[in-house]
Amino acid sequence: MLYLLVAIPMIIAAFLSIILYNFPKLPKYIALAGSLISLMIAILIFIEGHSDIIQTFNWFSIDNITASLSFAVYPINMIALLIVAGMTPLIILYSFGFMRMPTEQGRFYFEISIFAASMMIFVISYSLIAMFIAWEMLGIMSYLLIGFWYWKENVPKAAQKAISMVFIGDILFLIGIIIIGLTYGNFNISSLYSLPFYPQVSIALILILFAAFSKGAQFPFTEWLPDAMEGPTPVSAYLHSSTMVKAGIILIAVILPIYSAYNLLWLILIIGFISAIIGATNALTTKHIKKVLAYSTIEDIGLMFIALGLNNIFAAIMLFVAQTFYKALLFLDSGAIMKANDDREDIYKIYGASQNKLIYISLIFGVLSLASIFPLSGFFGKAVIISTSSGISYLLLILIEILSSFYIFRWFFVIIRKDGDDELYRAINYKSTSKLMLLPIFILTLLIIFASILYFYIPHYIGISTTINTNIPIYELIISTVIAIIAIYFTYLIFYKHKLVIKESYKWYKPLYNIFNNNIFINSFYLYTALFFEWIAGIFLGIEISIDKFLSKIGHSILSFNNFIRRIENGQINTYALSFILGILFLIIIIYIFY
Amino acid sequence: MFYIGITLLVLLVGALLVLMTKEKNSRVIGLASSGLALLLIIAMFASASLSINPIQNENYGLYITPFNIHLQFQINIFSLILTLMSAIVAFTAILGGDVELSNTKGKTFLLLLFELSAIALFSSTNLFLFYIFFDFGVIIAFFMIYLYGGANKRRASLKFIAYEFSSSMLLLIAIILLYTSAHTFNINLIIQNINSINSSTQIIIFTLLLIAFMINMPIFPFHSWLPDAYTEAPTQGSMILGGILSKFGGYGLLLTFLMLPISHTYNIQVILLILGIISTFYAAFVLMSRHDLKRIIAYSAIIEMGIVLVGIASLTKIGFDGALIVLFAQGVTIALMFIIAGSIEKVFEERDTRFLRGVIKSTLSDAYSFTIGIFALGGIPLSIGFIGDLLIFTGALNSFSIFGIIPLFALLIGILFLYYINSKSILNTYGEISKSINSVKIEQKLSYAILIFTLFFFGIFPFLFTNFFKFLI
Repeated sequence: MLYLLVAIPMIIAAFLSIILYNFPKLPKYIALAGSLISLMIAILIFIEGHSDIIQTFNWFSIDNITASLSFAVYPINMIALLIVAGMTPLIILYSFGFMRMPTEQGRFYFEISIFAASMMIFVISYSLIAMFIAWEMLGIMSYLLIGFWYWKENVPKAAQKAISMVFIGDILFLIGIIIIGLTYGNFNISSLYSLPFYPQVSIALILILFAAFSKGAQFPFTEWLPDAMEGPTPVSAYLHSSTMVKAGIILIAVILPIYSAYNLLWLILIIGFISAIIGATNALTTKHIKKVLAYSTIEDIGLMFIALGLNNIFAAIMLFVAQTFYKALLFLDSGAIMKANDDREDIYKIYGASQNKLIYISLIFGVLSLASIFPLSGFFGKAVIISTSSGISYLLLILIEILSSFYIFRWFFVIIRKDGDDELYRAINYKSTSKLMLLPIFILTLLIIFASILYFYIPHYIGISTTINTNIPIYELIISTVIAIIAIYFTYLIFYKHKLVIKESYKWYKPLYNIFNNNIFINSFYLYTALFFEWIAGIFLGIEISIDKFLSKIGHSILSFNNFIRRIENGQINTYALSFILGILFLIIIIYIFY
Repeated sequence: MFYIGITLLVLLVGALLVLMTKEKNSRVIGLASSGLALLLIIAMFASASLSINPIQNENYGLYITPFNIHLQFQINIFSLILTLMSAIVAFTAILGGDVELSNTKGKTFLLLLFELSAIALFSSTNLFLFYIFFDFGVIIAFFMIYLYGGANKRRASLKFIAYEFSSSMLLLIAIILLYTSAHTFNINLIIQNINSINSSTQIIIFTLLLIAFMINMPIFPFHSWLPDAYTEAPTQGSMILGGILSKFGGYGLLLTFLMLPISHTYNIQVILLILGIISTFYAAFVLMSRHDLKRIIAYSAIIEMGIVLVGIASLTKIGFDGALIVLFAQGVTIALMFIIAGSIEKVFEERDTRFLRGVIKSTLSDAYSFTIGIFALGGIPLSIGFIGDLLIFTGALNSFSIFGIIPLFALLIGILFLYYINSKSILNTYGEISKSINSVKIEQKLSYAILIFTLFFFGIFPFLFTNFFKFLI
């Protein structure tokens, strides 16, 4: 339980900010203080070093099933904990400049603090039930955060989409842990490692895998993530860099040896490839400044799952670390650019990101890191994955790299354009960009550069076995550089020099565009599923109404029988006399027959 | 200690005082009486938690000599959990449920009497008292709808009373049959001597009880009274109907399976599972095509009750425990949802989700409490519903393998639709929004807070409940 200390400052900060709702100046400082204390505790835990002690608290036990909340720190989640705890103050600092409205202060810092706390709890937990608690907390907090600006048109819909996908994943996770709990009598991860193998556990593992895909916005569940861009930018940056979408990666990374033992790595690999290709192709066509980055996140998470599917935990962690920094940086930059461009979202209407020098330089570093240029940290993340693969997966990874170079340089060259003729260009204003927004950007730029050192440090820290590939051959470096240079040349020519805006009406281009734009197949799949359910619901409503009608018909028939009987007592003496005579006759006949 | 006796006395005195006072004082007396009852029940719960053996009997002498019926109440696992739920729901109903601000005196009187009958029912040790308080509760609920309901109150209340009286008739026949063969009304004695009853009689009794309680819960073919009754009742009426009355059936079904071991056969399990699956999916799909906020909540209650049925049908201890916890969780959650729905109706004079927009703009507390209510209904961790769902489906998986999990998908459909409603009507202020006509009173907010606190307090400390479960009779 001692490890829980890392999350407690954030929880306290959250409740303080909701209590101090009427003092809009205070919550941000409280949240910042809480996150800094959390960071300090995380660093203390890091310095103390990991031990093999699992801290267990017996939550409840019934019959022969025990649910215990266990917490442990070991190399993989120590790295994740440091990243989460380190990113939180940066995001909160950025929010100082970004979230200006006094009415939204208390609510925003409450939600983001709980969100941070649940991610920290998720990272340090070492039993499935503790993980599940944090997992669902992440889901509902992301629902509230994505739907934060509920007065905008698409926001409620986006929030609903996110919670729907995530909730499906939650139910799958719940079924998975129920199966595991019933099999082993507890929910501890350590019991998963125990022999013998049970066949039902492989079903549970597949369900948990799909839960991880739903959080990580992988193949069947890709669509919530681009829509989630409707949320405030700090939330997007936080969601995409260190929390939420990474939760699935951490979950699978922690229990990866079990997937390997149950021979399920192929599934992780396939879904990873499908998602990475979906992400990379859609990022090419999207025009929304943040959605490009969102699809790029789907691609990155897909690459991490590919690394896990190749059973290379080191590659996954390296990309995990590198992606955190460059994706957070790009999101924070795009938030600042959007503020300067009057909150426009279409990249073809956004200009002059080069006006602010810090934003410009940080953008260059972020983009180069994403395009995996040596010696930035992104290179080490992606190159290890590529060099681990072979055959068809090698070719696919190269293809993904080409695609990602193209989309990110397109994005970059479009938003740094200058256009003196356009009135939108003349209206842009980088002067009012808050210094508090630039500080996190500066820190992240440094981190992108210096995180490369981790490539030499992580293998010793996590103590991986020698069978796992950590080498990057020199030709990888050449290939990625050549790809990037070609991409830079063409995108510079098309989007910066000639200021070409690719129109959807180009005939040769249109079918291809339609396939890769906005994930049309997956979206329509969900649409038709929803319509199908609605159709079934209509049938059931018909049944319900007819049951109701049938019952009232019974009621009415009883009533009409009553009316029929009542006619005998109509108060007219001749009717009574008639029935009296008829009765007498009836009696006489009866007596006559029976005697 | 005489916790239950004193509680019942407090409620009875409170009800009589409410009858005697003026309209404006009635709410204060009702609040005092039910608040005192709640404190007594909490004291009972606390002392039971601390003591080694929580099961205690309270005997108040012989009631009817020829039948050897004692006026006896028992503090056991059922009564500890379910009376706590009844006391909380009734207290919050009196505190903040009167959103219509009309007929306060009559409604408070009925609420106190209903709370009395619920607490007496959940802690009675013999079937005679069980039957009496069952009927008593039904009649009070009938008057609640009939006197203070909405536009279609006559139709709804007649439907309600027709169903519930057939339920209690079947219950009466079953109890008479049990008495003639076991010669006692005492539940514990029946459990001890059950083997002396021949099996065909047991089957008949079981069938009668099953149908009676399935009507009350309700489960699919017998659910037709519920949407109308819940919708037409006043807010306080919906709260006690959804929160307490439908738990009579769940509790009765648990008792039935404990009393009659003949029911522990695989065929009955499978039939009940199928009924549970049909009931949950039916309610989930009908819920999707409804637009009335109260009606949507009413159908979500049927989903939860189907899940309870599956938990009971698993016939494992863990499933029974889960069913008991879900009864508690669902009672509190439904009460919360109905009080919010009543408040929204009062504030906007609109309950139709097609026209309702932007609740959050006018009433922040309603909007967020409703969202939390959906979370709780979906069983998020750290709310008590999660523990219940976890236990029920563990039991169901144990008994039916993967088929036991199926109702979870009905819950998924229902909750996704509720999220849809939430994003469309509650947490959405884009475009034209509904005009707010009234404001939410502080008492109502206090009620939300109490109900939400209950859900999460027991969700964070579930061992307060689960520690009792080793004493399940």
